[in-house]
Amino acid sequence: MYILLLLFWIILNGKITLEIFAFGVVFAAAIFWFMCKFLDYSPRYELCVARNIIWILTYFVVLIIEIFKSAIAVYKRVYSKKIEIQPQMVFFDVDIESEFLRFVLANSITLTPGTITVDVTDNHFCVHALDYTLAEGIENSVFIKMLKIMEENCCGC
Amino acid sequence: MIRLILSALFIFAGVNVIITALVGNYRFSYVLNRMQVGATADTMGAILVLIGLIIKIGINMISIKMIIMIIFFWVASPVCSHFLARTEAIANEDILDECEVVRHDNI
Repeated sequence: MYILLLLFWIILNGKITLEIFAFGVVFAAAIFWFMCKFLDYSPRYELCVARNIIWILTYFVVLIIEIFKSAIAVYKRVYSKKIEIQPQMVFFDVDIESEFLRFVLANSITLTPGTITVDVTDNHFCVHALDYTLAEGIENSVFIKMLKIMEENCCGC
Repeated sequence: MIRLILSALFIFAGVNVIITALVGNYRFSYVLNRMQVGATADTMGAILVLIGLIIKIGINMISIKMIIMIIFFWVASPVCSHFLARTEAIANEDILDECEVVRHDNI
């Protein structure tokens, strides 16, 4: 995370000189300290990320494929006059304990065209779908399975 | 030359996505349905246009900044549409007329 902050500083500056690098080291350290102290961040999350790196990359690939698939399904419904849409509000539970992973799941559902997360309280999800076919099997989708595996690998951090 | 064609294809696809979002906004009548289509302009459209531009200028500091822009778009846009959807779901009393409700939970 410290290295990412330093990289972000260098990228925003646009070029690498010794002066920029020295300032970056100091500022990145300050921000890292702030994150640990006030934003509930701790270095053991990095261990968790390192353990899950393959799953995280697979998750992104699957997410992009799903986005393209459902985007095509939505565009069919936009341009064709024959298909009447039947909007649907789906309530379902997920058994994911970690709050961050639930946030990731809610954001992935919203990113996929055709479905929007309306409400999340604890582990009850409320999802609005443009058409009932887009919400089919949402309560045991591939995202939830992958996030569960990631949570098991993390073992409590 | 190949890079130019590839980037043109990506930008063309992105503009198409944004036009589709525009058409969809007029095609549907209810707020949540309109938002479903409108949110794709943020994610898919912006991404495709930015990827086209990245291919066009090659890898340097500006294209790395564009990649950071993509990440911010993907994190920020769902939060925005989530808040709009929740406000609509709380404020609208006749929401059951617009969509059927299916429950898989055990409340």
